[in-house]
Amino acid sequence: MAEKNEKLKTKSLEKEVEFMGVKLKPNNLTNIHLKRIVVNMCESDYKFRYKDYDDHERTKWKDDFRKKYHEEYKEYSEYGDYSDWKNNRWDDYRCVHPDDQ
Amino acid sequence: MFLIYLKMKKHNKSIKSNLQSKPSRLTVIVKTTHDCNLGCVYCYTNPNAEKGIMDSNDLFNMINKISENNREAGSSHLIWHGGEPLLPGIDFYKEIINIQENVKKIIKGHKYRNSIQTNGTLLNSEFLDFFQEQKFKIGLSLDGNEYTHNLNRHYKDGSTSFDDVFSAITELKKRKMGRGVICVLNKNTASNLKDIYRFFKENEIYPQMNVQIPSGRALDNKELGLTPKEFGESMIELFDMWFYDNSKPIIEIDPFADIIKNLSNYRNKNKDDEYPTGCSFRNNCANSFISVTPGGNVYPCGRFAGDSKFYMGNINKGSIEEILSSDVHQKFLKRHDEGIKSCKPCEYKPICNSGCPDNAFLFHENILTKDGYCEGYKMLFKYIENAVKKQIGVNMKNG
Repeated sequence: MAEKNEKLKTKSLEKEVEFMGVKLKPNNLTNIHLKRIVVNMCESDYKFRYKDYDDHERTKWKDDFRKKYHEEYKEYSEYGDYSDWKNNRWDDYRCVHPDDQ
Repeated sequence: MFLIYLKMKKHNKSIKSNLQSKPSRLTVIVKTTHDCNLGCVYCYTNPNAEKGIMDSNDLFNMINKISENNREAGSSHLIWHGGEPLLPGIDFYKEIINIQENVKKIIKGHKYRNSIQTNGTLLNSEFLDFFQEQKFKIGLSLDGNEYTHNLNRHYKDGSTSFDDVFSAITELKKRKMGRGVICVLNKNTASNLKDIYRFFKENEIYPQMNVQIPSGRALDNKELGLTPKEFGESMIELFDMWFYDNSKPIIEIDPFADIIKNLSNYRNKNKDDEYPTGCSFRNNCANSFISVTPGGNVYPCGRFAGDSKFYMGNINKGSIEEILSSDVHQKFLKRHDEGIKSCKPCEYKPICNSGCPDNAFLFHENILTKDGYCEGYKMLFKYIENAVKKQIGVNMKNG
């Protein structure tokens, strides 16, 4: 666990995900909707990938990540980010339980 | 209270023995009542749907059995639906919380999520305080601006409902309890999409667009329905307004982001098994949902409530396993497992999975056929995919 957490500390916030078959980072996108979707995908990917890591380190990374990418969505994040909004609404209609996300 | 506790202990013992093969976590769409104070032009409720309000016995058995079914999963989600789910009054919801609290004493650590889909007209401060305290998730129905909403959604006496619903959503936003609404797409709304988009954006309301389906009262107002092609065209028109609008405030419109993510996963080399999302597209609705009506009758989904062809059993008789072994449920599983033959060559089959069984039934009287809105969905998928690829191409060149 300690080794895992050390690795996590050095994990870049410049996260890259595969989107439509192309590897890209949120900042590669100028369309705000796509950017938000990709930011959300980065968070989900991270949540799954590191779910067995130390909670404190996970939360820290997530907070830093959010600070970086949600800064420009201030008014929006007052009500929670994209995934929070989704959890408030229709996750079960999407057949994905929030506990599984 | 003590009697309920004893009853549950006894029930708990009897059910422990017959849970060899558990189904996956089930969410219940609870039809608290099929009655409603509104008379919306497109209400899909079956006129033969069960009358009255769900009683204490139904509530007790339903919450117990679903919690037991979901014991290993550790949580249960109940979506309180109708008719109008606030008609039973606040004591109904206090009883629900009491039963859930008592189940938690037996199934230690079990969690509940309660969501409610209401028309918003009865959402007074007493309800709001209670739902806020109990962390209910609240969704309203709002068909765009005052003009379009009042065309579609009025009281039974014909008086308009917009002001009541809009003040409910304003209060929800003020309390930060949500801003999501269902907006139904039909001729009235489709012909006013620009105004509707502007209205939602100005008021920072996030709509989920549902198409009017040919069922219930909508059959008396068929002229308001959209053809599959018109549905596709309207969704594309709305998508364009949303997707190319980078100005604040940004709003979400369901299901656009879901479709983009589903398309993305489909085109990715490393696919995520969680996709596609969306109850119509996921290909596991029968494993994820049941709907229970007043009197305890069980159907695969709220859309089928009151149609005897889709009756699966009664929550007051037998176990969830027995209900899920019904022929009706097996037929839904067959749709998931074997798929629809005519969909196999379709490029978008992996992100659509033949769509919604109810939309299939409404158009073809057979759930083992494809979604009746297939043509519209295909148009939409193709359009969105091209638009997104173009944006990525532009961004990658610039980046």
